[in-house]
Amino acid sequence: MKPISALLLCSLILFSCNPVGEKISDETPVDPQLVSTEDHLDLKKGDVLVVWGKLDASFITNGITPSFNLIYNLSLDGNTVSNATLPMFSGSAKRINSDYSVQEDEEEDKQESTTDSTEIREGKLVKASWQFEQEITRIPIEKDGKYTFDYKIKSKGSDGESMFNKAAIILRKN
Amino acid sequence: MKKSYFGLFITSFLFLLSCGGKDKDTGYTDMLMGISQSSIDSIRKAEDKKPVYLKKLTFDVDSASSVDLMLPLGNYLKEYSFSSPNIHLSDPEHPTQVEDESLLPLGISIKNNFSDDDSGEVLMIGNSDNPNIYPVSDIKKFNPAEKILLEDKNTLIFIDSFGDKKLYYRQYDPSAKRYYLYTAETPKYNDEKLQYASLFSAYKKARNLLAFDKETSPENLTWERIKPGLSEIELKSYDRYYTSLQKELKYFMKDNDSTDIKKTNFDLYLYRDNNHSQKGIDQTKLLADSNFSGTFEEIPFENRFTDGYFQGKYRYDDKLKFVKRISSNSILVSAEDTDSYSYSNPPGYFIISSIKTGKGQFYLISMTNKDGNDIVALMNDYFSKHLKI
Repeated sequence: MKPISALLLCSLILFSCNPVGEKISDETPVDPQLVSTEDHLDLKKGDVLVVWGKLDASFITNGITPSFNLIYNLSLDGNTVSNATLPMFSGSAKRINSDYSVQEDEEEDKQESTTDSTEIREGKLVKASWQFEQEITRIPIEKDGKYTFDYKIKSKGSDGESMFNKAAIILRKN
Repeated sequence: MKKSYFGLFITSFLFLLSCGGKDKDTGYTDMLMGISQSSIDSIRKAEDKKPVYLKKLTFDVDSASSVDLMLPLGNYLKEYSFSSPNIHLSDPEHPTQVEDESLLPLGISIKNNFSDDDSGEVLMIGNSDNPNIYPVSDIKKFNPAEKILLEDKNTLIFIDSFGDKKLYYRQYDPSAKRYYLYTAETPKYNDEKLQYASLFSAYKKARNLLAFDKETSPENLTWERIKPGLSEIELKSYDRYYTSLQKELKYFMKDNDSTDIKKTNFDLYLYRDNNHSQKGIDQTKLLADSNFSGTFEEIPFENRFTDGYFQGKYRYDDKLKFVKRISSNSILVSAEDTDSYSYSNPPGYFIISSIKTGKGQFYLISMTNKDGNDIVALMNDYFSKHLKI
């Protein structure tokens, strides 16, 4: 096999085996006062609906993320299939597309630096902006149909209510 | 012969050039318009066909004078804090200095429940002996239009080079020697059709501004009746809120859960009362049957008023009074701060609607007017019966 053919084959394999699944919803801004809805989700028996949370936060101190809860209801023809209240952005597992930018303290050098690491030097307050996606839950689908995913994102503390911290939901299917 | 071929070539060349220019112009105008002329026309017709439900509003100019205006239900007036509207009334290159400020027109912002900041609709009112003041011809000169959608003696509706859709509508009242200039710039909604609906809705509003003989009688107002007259953007926005309440009620609320939608000009507070659900209590019926008047503390049944909706607004020793029954589901109550040390507050009026479903006893509360017939009260009452608007 020629090297170019091998490269093409590898790329094809990489693209076809999307490890986080196919995105099936747009990332829409959430009004925390309202129930948001993703409807006409075309799901088949055997699919797994994977709910991801996306955080877009600024002025995070020492890498401590704001706390939110996701309250959701998945329904088919108006009947609840799955519902729960789950914490968002807790722990560091299953986190993707992370972009962490340190914003130095005012006394420090004001140059911004970008790093993938969130390690904090002891005794120092590090302010940063941080964007990432994190898996919240996986819902196995047992019946073909057009599903509706209704949800609310509720902040658990004052950090979550800050205008600098925005949370959104992305739906993928595996 | 050679000469005629050359002439033919030149003519064909010029013709092709002119066609190319025309295509380019048409493409630019189409891009500015966003949707086809026929779609714009049908949106205009649809807005024109909508029934109008008008209410007389009075704007206090100062302690000595006021202006009466007719506006659709759900609209209100607010002082316009900027010096000039979105449309130039005079030459922006050569602004005229007015020495006597009292000669400047008064600016009033026309708003509805969803225009949080600048609604884009501004009415300028002034006095003049000249019935032809601020003619459309001047407005055209000072506001270059890329596409004029409608023009007559008193109207100019156009799209400017930024793609902004604008309205200018003038009226003159010869008896009062007063002119009314309604200007609007449509907010940039993502949906182009919504922008045109908003533009023609403003045009209709402007034309009815002085229609004092068309006031809608406040009796027998219902949501079913006024809904067809609402602008598309209002209808869409209200529907979003009530759909959210419907989903809260159907999927999310249990025990003593509550949800609060707070906007600048209205609020919607939906809650479930566990105790009432278990004991089959409907507080709207109890308050109405007893014609209740007393303090919150004296209400003769367990309730979540001062722990819920009224928390931070009224205390246990403040007054609550049943005013009237609005429908089988809804009542109007008033509440009053009785703190003798505080300045005297006018009473607040609230609609309480009972919603009983298989999931328990829910209540929907909103502030309203003293008659309990503003647009939110009408929607709440309808929602309490149909769980949609």
